[in-house]
Amino acid sequence: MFNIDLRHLEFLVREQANQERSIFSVLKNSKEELEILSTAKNIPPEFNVRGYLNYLLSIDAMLEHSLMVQYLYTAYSMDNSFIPEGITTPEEIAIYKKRLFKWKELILGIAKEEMGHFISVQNLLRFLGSALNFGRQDFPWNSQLHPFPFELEPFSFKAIAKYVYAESPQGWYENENGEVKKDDLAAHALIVEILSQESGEIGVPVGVIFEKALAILKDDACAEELTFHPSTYPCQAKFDEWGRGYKDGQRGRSRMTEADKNKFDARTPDVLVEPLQTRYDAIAALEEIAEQGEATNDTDENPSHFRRFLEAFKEMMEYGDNTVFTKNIVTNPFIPSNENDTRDNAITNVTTQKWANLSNVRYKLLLSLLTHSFLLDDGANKTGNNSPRGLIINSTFGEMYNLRTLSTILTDAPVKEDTHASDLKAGAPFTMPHNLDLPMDEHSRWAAHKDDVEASIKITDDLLADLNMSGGSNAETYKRYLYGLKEADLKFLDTIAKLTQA
Amino acid sequence: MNKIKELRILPPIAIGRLGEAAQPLEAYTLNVSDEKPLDYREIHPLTSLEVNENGEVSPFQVDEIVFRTDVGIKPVAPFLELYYVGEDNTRLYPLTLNVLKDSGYDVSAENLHEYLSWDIDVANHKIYRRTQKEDDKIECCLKNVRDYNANPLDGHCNNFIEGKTISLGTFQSIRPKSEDEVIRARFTPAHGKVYRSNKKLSAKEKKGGLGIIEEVYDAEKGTWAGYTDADSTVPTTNPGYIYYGDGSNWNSLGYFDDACDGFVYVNLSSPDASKESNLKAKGHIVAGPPDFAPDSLPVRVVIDELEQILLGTEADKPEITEVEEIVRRSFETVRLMNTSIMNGNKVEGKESGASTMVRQDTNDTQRMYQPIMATSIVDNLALLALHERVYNGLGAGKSAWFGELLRRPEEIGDLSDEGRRKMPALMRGADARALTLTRRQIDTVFKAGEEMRFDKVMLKAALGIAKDDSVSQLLYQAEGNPYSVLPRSAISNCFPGLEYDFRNLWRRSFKEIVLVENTNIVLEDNRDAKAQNPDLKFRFLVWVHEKQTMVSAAGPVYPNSGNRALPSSRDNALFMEWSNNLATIIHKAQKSEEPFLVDAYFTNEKYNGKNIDPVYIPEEGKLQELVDAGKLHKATLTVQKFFIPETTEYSDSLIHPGEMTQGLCAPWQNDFIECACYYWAASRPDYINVEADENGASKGDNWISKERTGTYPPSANIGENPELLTYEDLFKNWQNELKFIIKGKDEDASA
Repeated sequence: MFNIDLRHLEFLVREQANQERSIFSVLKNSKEELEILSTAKNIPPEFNVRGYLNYLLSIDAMLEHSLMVQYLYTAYSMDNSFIPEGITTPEEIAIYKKRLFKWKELILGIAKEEMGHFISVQNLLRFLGSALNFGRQDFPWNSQLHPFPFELEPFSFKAIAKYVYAESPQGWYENENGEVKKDDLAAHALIVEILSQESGEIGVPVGVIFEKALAILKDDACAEELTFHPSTYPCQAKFDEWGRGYKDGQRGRSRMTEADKNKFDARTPDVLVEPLQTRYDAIAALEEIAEQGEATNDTDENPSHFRRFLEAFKEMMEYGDNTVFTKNIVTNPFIPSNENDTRDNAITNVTTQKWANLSNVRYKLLLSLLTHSFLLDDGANKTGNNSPRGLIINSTFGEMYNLRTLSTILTDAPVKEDTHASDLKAGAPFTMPHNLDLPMDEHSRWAAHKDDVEASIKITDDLLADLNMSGGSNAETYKRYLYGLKEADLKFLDTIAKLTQA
Repeated sequence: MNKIKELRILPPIAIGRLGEAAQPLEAYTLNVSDEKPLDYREIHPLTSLEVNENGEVSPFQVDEIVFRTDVGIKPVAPFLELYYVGEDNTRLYPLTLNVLKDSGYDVSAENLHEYLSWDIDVANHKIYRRTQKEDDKIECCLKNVRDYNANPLDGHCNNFIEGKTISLGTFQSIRPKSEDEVIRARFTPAHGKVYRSNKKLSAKEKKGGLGIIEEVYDAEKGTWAGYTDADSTVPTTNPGYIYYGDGSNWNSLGYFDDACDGFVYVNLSSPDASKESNLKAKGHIVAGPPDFAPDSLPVRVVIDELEQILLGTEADKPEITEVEEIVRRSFETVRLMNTSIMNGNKVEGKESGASTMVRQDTNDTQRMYQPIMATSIVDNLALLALHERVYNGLGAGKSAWFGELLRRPEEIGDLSDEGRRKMPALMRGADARALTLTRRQIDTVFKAGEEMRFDKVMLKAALGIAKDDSVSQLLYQAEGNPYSVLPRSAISNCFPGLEYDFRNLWRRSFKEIVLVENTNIVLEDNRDAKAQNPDLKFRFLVWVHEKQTMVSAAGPVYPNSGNRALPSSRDNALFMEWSNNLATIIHKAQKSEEPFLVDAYFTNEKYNGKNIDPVYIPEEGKLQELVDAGKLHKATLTVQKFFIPETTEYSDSLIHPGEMTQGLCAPWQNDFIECACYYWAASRPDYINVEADENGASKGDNWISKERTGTYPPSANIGENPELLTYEDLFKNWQNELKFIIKGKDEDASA
């Protein structure tokens, strides 16, 4: 279990919060007032300026990571072979499938943007000469900077209501006169109703982290206490390497009509990956990340996460607020240490456990590869090929694809052995590895990847043996996947052997 | 009672491949291994057929496919089977002696040819394509074959030395051994010889030892020796100057090959043996170079074009396996490409070490010279790892998610960083710009993403082949045929091509005019004189059916300059290949019962004999205004049906013998020297014997390296690098110099 010391967030919260803010109250402070509250030099006792900035960025990385995984879990639970009750005619089904596809793309798009934030914050840490942070708390976990516990939830009214709220700007449902906006009235009422059953304690918005970090970076006196490391630029993540073209609508609109392209939800993921060489770059990168996540500059051209979630929520409402949109997929699945664990989310089905094990190993490998990429030079991105950075980066993407596939498989997999008694389906548990630190020397780092790959092969063989014995409707497809996974793993091991033979 | 309503030749489009060995290549198919799905396709031997001296075939089985003998490469010699449409009018069945008997024919193997005859009409127009002189056409028209002999296909040409011909192969009707054996014939391509004119050897030729090349063309009669594209009176091939030549004007040294293309016709008279042929069918054949990477398939192939014509640009409930096949073909190409070099990475610190799309973009449009992807992520092994994992996740993940990654046909002018990084990246299409898939392939990927789950079930034909199942007919692998006969093995991103210059299929897209295959210039106006007001010859076709035939080019001109209109060709215009350009209307015309008419707009300006660059008309709303101003001419055109309705036979007026290969290199061996791996790595491999080095990056050989050293000399100086094979090496001895690549390694045998 990965843990980070959250005590010091209280300081940040107190700094903001003479204001009581219960659910759906409006924070009365203007932005200017908040900025005054966030004076740069005001830091908790156990830090100096540099240490506190690093702390804030580490916390942010953890939050971005949690949001990303949370959204991925929701998106991967969406499956158009499941048609909600009441949608019966072919036309209705066709429209529903199109919408479901759009909603899924929307959530995945936001997850991709969170990943861009996550990576960009690592760049900041690298640039500041700090340790990187790829970790997060295990689900569910609570943060003062997030209104609800972070949870792995399937697609539902409740999940999307939470996401709308968590990403919302102050007073989103009110007009300038403090009246509830007509357009948003129904959505607001339903969200209130859904969330009234949730714990309503809310801290301060996540944006305060950026505000504080920016205040420190912008303050010349603070800056003197910081050190910047432009020489880390070759090891930082670049959009060219990580962005996959998700920029300024380059992807996502090619099939739309001209009219549709102008609609708010035509906005495609705009993945920010900002490498840094100067203090100015660092300020600009943080501002961009803050802007994309927050709703402060919400426009049709550049709709915030909040706006996108809200529009999806409104469309969902057309199907009635009792609509169930997915199979019976659990929240926060985990592999219990006790096989008799009767909790709903305890995966006790033996085969499903193996798929979950496999998914956990690949998740660990993804995080290790991602970490490793920040330790390898890109050859100034001019000549290339003088390090295995490309292999590491592309393999990281490969693991994202693996997690996507394994998540799909797991949402079809029973949680319990007795499938007559329980129709619960699982999902990828995204369990945090026990340790994310890579070994100190390069050979040992590759040996660590080898450990993960060999562990994966062991599970793969085990699953293949099960499938060969039991068959099942998806057996051939799953076997093909597992054989391919193993084949790719063996090639990767071969490359590792070459890399470490010297 | 005659059961035979119609005749068919299957496969209707067959690819023969040149080679000198006496024994043609045995039959095989390609399988994807269950347990190693990422590995190379398995070359799986099928029952082969040997043609005996009396013209009968005997089946035999081999354990492995061996592609070369001591004599030379084994030719791919397609068997062509006869099928008939039965009384049900819904299915095709094999035509046998028994079927003929049941239909009232008093027939046996001995007298079959009293009823049935074959005609073969093939040609090599490579010289003619350049010189435009009728006397330079090499043609073979063999009529009325009514025996079981291997009939020589002798290519005649008026400008050959008196008494000389060249062999374009043989054609043999096969004697049925039993009454249930399908009636068939076999086309065996030529040996793959290179010929020259009798012009005195130049110093360059002497140095290359080309005195041993047979002299066939009479340099006194014809102009081929000495010809240059610089003096061409018609729009040249694109790329131009793709013949063996010398000097600052690249004057032809008079070389050519024995490739050909054309038609095989079968005629079946009525049972009473009247001389009149009652039933006919035809098939298209071509003879081109071998597939040197037989266990890999290219990204975009001939069947993709034909499917788009026959079935349209929209895929109907595609299966995930169709997307898997597209992705598999992508990584089969990546696997054989030196992707770092193709990306424009420096080689040992040197810029522009090879011909690449990076160089082409700068050369053609003056875009800033810049690698396409981040240079750190494009090593062969790294890219392969990525593609393999995408492929592997498709089936179990139950959807494709990367439709947006694909380049749309209209985006070929988008030379921004993001635009150039769309897939397929680093490769060249038939319009010289970055490759796009066909519209139908793109739609397949998108639909597979939107549908997420798949419910389509393929039903195998119980007996025979459905008459309306055109794709199954096109992919029919007749007994004894290697997989490389099929249009799935022949590339279609032709620039100019390998087996075909398939762009020629679209030259007669409209009944009234003939277009140049590689740009929007009209070559012939066939309307009657009255209608020619004005004559459309040499004008540019800029709009057709509410759509422009070109796109504009934009990209950066210096770092962070943003995307600007690039001063590429005239008017910032880039021509878009005819296949994707006209796909929608051609499919509509194919399905239409009425003549399918479209409005087309032509420039007043004419081709000036030099510049084949297109011109660009930016705004649709101004068309009429431009017509009124005399700057454009409007004409109504009839879109051609590419196939005879309800068949998979090309329409009679669509394509003529010799046209499918006329734009290829002369001789074709030039292409194997000049065209680097950003075209067709899965057919003409580039990066081979690849393995990881101590940096985790790849190392391997250049396919055309003379020696295998584990290093890759980039082909910067075409035809001159002493480490690489030269034109002359291939003219003299290509069958030993060019290696087959199996499982990524030099290998002549499949096992």
